[in-house]
Amino acid sequence: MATQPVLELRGVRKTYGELVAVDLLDLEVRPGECVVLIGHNGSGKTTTLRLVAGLLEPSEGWVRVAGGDLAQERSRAALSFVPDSPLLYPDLTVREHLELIGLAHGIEDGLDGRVAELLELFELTSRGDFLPGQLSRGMRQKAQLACALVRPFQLLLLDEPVVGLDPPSQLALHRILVAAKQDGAAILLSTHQLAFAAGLADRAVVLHDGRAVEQGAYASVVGGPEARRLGLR
Amino acid sequence: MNQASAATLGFLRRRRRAHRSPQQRSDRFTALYTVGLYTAIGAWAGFQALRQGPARGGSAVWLTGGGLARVATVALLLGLLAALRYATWQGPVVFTAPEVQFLLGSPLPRAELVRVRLGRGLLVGAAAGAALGLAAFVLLEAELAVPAWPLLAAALGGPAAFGVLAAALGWLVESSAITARVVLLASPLVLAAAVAAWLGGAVAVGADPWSGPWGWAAGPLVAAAGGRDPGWPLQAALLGGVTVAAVVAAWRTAARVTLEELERRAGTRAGLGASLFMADPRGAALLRHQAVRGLVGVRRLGLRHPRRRWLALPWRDGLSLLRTPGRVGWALVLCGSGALAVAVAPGRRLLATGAVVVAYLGAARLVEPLRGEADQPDASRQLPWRWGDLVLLHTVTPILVLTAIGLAVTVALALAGLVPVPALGMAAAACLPVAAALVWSAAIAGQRGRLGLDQFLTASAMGELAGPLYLLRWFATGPLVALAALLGPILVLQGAAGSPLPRAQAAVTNGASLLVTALAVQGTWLRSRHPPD
Repeated sequence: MATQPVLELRGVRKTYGELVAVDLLDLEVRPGECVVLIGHNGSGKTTTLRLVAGLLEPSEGWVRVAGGDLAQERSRAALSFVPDSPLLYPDLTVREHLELIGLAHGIEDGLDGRVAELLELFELTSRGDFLPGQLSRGMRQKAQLACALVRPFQLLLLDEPVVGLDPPSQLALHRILVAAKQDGAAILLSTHQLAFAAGLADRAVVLHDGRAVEQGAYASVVGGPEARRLGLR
Repeated sequence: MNQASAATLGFLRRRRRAHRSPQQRSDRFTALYTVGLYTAIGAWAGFQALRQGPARGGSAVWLTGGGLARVATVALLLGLLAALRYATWQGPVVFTAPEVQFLLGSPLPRAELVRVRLGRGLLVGAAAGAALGLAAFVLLEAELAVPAWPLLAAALGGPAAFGVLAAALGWLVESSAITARVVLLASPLVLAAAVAAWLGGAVAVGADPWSGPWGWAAGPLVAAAGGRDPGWPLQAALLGGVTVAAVVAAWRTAARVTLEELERRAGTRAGLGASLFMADPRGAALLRHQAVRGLVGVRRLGLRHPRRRWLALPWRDGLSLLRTPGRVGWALVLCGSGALAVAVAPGRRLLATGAVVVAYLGAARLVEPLRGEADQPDASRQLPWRWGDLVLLHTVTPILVLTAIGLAVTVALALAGLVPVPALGMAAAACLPVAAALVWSAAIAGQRGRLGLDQFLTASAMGELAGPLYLLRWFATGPLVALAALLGPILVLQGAAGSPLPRAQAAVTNGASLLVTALAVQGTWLRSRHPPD
């Protein structure tokens, strides 16, 4: 592909004392491409996503988003992150979360319409004026996803996005992600649900003990020897 | 108590005792003995020190001339309000989570199980009242040198009975969600009325038969201290009667509480214990806030979102304050108190220091959204700003609100004749930079997040002296930063009070320069911050 990668990781290593959480990881994700990270619990998937999101600093190596490091506001604005457990402000309603994030990312016109559309899409319209503490875990997850999608982005990071989601919402999310890819967004996804990744992911990376033990086209990696050896299929 | 309940509780008591090692028993005894010994030594030493201090004829006249009645009445009313508000989320009867699960879930009469705890709660109320009464006795006896035994009896008896009354009423609040809701909503109004009455001198004769239990409890104390209160026997009888009635009502309604309510309180107690053990008062405050939010509900007040990007966070913080107006109220009370103290006695440095700390506490109430952000810094990743910029944007609304409070207080003080008219313009102009200095000091402390396990373990490992100092440094950072920013300008202005005009003008310029420098340092430092780990 001739296009520049939206995300680049080179020689990234993250250690906690003697524990190596991510070990010399190289990775690229280009516009319109979806890469899925698969691996056991503790293999380094979430740490990788948090390194990319700028929530952790690499011990070695570097991460670039949209051509710059995450100290630059342009790079931070290009990236949207959905963590593995919903992180919402306890004193703001779902609708106000979407308005805050949309406004902070510069959507000054059409914000109300965009918010209403996302609430409808995730069946949150009747809960739009609820605080996070009044919602179930699944509803909070939907609100978190809506927060990530309300603003423009070049790179979407999703950490186990379908945990707690009901099947219609999983389907709706799948459709949104396919559409986002077609619009040129890059997606880095971590999941154990290979059924969700199928039809969405172009490439896959198998992580084991922090190392990328195999990466390549999604179908060949998921059907490949490492995924079979590790029992990931 | 029926046989099954007695047998079950007896079994539990025996099992718990069996699991308690002799060492634990010994430690508990040592702790109690130490607390008792130090209390007695402290009381004796305090008494002697006060007794040997310079004569305070003026204080004695003020105390016996109505001052003691005013102070005691308001203090007891505030104590009762505090006990009732405490009962809206904890109260005199709190079980542990396993007890709710296994003991209250068993087919035993709940009223009997509750009464055991209620009896303990009433005793704790009596002990707390007596302890406060003892402290009052030491202070009064040293100051007034009146016959000791009548004063001791009045100082112990009235407050102890009042403590029992507060615990019994606390149970009535605890066992009824409607009553708890009424207490939460009405207590700020009662507090405001009490303060207004106190300031207005309406309780100058305080301990009257119609003054309520707080006045009845104070009456015998006032009489024993040499004050004029001929109706104290009636007041003592009224207090005894109302206390007995409240205890009987509480005893009879022991079965009224729901298991769901007791389970909620048990969960809060467990979290509260963990927060206090970890020296995390903010964690404890958040638990209280969550617990009472279910009672008063969520205020559905909204604020139309702005259309400018840079207004996003001020709008978000404005929404938060709109839904918790109590924070603005506290900021007004604390900052107003600080300003009042400085205006009443402008030349006193110690008072100015205390005023800055009190005003800082008011400002800290307004930066709660920033503290919430620091509690879960990962959530800030949804926003495009760097942490330092995010922190500064979170201070815009608090600075504006505090400036408005400062202007209102300045006008009120000017109307009361405490701010001279020529100084009014300067005082109003100082509101914004002073508000910024206070809010940024609170932001410097708040952006660190909560005291983490790492810091707590560090403090634990530092030993009995250095560990508490380490924790103290953590909590004192905000007030110290506020003092560093504001005390210099205040001292410069105090030094020039009453000076000729050129010198006063130079002092104003120097004070302003110091304040601007402090603000520049604070702002630069905040902007360079990174999210807490």
